[in-house]
Amino acid sequence: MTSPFALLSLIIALPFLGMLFVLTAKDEENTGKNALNVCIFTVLANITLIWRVFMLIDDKKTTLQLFEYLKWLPRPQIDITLAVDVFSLLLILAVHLAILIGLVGVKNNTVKQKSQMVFTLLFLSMITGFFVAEDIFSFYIFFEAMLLPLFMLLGISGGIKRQELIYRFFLYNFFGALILFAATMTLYHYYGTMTLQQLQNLKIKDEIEFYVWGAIFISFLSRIPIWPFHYWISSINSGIRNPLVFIICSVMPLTGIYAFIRFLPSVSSLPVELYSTWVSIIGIITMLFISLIGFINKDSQYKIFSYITVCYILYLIGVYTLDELILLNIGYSAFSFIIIFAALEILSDYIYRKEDQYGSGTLGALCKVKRLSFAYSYLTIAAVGMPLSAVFINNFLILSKLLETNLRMGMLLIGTLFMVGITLLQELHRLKTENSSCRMKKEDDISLALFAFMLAIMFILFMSFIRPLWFVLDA
Amino acid sequence: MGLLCFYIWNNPLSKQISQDLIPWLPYEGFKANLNLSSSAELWSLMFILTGMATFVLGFNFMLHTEKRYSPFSSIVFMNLAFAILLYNSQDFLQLMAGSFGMTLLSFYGIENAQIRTKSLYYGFFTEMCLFSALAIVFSRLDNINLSSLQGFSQKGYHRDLIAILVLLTVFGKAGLILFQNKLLDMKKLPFSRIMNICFLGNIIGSVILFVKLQPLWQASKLSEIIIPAMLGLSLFWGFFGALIIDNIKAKALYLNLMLYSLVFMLLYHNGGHWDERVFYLFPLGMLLNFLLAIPVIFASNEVYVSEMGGFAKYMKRNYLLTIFACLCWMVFLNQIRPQGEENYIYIYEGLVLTALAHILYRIYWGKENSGAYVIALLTNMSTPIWAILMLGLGFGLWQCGAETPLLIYGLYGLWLVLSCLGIFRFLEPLDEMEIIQDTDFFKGLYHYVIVAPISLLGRILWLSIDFLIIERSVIGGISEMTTLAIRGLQRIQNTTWLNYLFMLLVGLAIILLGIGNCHD
Repeated sequence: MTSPFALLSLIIALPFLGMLFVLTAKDEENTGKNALNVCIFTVLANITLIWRVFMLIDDKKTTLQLFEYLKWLPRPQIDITLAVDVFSLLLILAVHLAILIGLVGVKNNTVKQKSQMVFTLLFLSMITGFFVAEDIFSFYIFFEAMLLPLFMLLGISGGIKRQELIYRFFLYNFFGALILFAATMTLYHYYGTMTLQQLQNLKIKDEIEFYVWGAIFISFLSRIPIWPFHYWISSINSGIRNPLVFIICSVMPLTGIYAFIRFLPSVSSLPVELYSTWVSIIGIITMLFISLIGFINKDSQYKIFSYITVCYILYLIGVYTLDELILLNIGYSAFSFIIIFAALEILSDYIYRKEDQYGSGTLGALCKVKRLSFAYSYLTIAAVGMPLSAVFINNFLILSKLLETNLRMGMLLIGTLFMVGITLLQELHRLKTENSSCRMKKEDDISLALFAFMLAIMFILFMSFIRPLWFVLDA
Repeated sequence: MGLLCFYIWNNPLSKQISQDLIPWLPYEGFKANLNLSSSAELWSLMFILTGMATFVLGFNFMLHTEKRYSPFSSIVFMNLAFAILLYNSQDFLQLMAGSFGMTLLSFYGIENAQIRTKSLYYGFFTEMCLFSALAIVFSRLDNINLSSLQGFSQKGYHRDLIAILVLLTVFGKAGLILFQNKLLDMKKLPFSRIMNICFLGNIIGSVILFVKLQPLWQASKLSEIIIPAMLGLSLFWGFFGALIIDNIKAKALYLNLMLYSLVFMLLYHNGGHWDERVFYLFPLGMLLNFLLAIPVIFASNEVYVSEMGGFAKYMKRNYLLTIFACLCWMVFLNQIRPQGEENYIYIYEGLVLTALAHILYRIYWGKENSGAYVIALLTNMSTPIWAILMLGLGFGLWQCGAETPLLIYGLYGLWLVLSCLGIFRFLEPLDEMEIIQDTDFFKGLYHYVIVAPISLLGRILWLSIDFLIIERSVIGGISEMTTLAIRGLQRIQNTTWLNYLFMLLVGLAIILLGIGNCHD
């Protein structure tokens, strides 16, 4: 089925057009309200388009749909193909919602708002392109292109004090992208231009298979905070003092996981099995490691980071099973997970801004602010896997399949999920512990508008628990 | 509430059996339905639960223990809805959703933020155990229907592990020994909340889980050791707590712990199948809680027994009601007749009566310890409420009285005398011992056995591997190498023509060698 009105191109182009519009937006000095409004409007418009795409596809099918073809270069012959399936569309929607939440989180930010909005929209365009790319070239281009706005956002608005961390982070990701370039070129050299579906069914020549898969694994893993390189990403994430940038940065590992889904062959080969076994082992070590450090770390940002990392690695290990049901459930679970961590991050940021304002600790910060307390509790409880979002059922399915493969591995995974859940609950407990020195008052509660927005987010999460694709109306 | 209304609307009071299945998840190989059917057994349970819920709400309404009526009332009703959801579950998903839902309700049912989040730790732990157990079972059986568990003991995958996980879920949810802190934390809540959580909340969930997951725990021989051991320990722990702890709310909670022990013991001896007698035990437990709530409410919220004594003089009506209710309790308990070798019912009854005798002596007869201010504010409950309660209990006694052997009345008389004599007076000095009254041994145990080692391990990993090895050695090394490489390149680029010539020659040599290799 081909896409009507080039809808897929449109959902890539719309944030890009929005970016151009933001560039021309007039703003009073340093307020950036216009830029923010344009950005929010663009994201909302694109969400509507994505919803429309959902209505056009067959949500019962797990295969790619709505193909768009574009002949790009005749020599060397490079054709662009775009397509989506339920999984990729869910991720696109989740990223849009997460960025929308992030935008709400920075609405009072007055410093370099315009440039922040420009790069946010550019990032959104690139990541959407990445999720709909169906040939190796466009896939590579978007894979690499999203680094630029990310780097700019980190540098301009991230609030990271140690600038060398940003260079390190960029170099690390850039190195990964270069390796993917080498793998893509090798594949092109031997087999010419191809779609990702063709690549999945391709039997790569024995003499290069080991190297090509090695390069692909390294490049995709460079996006995921896996041991021992988690330290690079964790030092960046825990240093970010801007919720929008944190959310965008935390979405990056998703690209690594999605890339594995699109590249892994439908019939596993020896190198792939070998690499995925090793990555699974390292992944479990990372999960244990991060969950333990998250437990002892006092920084709430690190706690959220440890939660995010553990969930991503769980999805990654799930991806290696190559089970269609698991893949679909990873999509459903990731949809809620992304929204949860984005919403948690902006509330956490709100609390820490108040702390800065009063110069007091955050112990007991939620005691007198009912709206904030309710929203924070709901999100934490949903994050740990209680039946308030799609994370609940879908993680059950993913873990059952992993337990089927290896009981010990599965139990370790459950153990890390438990640890990271306790880490989040520990933070909730700390924020709710009565403390006389806490200076947050009733008046410091979130505004009614923000609370209404949070209620809408909670509604989306709860509906995703009842039925993952509840927003897709049956024809 | 919606669920409850739907249920009541759909199943009129005729105890009719109906099948109401609402399609939920449509995945191939993972179809789940929301089952809201009814059965006679469920009606019995709902009858008891609704009665208890009405009592809690009435208690709250008449004695004004709760400031915010509506949220509390909705939580009480939501408990019933989740009990239906859990009871009716035919697949793992509905079972987990019901169980998790009850944990959430207990979270929102506790108004004290600190206790609330602490209870969530326990709740989360128990739910993760349930989650793990069912995930393992699903991974082996490839079926989410609870009916598929019937064959589990034959197939028997990881029996011991699954049985331990299930028992941790059930006992952790109920708050039996090892998890009793969860229960005892409630002493900071008003009695209406205590009764809601202890008789309408998680305990009902844990009983239903115990029965529903019976094939899982019964498949392991370990459960034959674990269950009696935990129940026995809970019973005696509860008894000693009720006897020596000063806080009257804590005493009530210890009595509840003893009741839970009896409930699970009955179910265990019935092979994990439903035992209707269990339903009737909960109102009896609630009655005891109510009896202990009376002196607190009518003595200006004084909760320490050591600060009471001699209240019978000032609260005659309350005392009369209390001792009459104790008689009713004995008669009602006698209705739950032991079957076969169920002698533990007598043990339970004996221990509860002993503890009660001591508690009532200290409140109503013992030495007057309260200040003049408290004494001045002691009141009796209003006559209409008192009359309604006496009539209600009297009606119950009349209904059961005919079947009650005279021995019970004789025992009651003996107990009444004991409760006035105070033979456990020698325990009173224990009120002053902080190590008994306030020290939380299990908290310390968990801290030193679980939390401290995990924290230490985390800190070691963080400092040694993250900081020293990765940051200092690996990243530091790469950083140094990059700096060296950059310096080397800078030296080459130092504008001397000899360096450029040298580099040109090296480049040429590489190209020539490369071409040569290509021709080969």
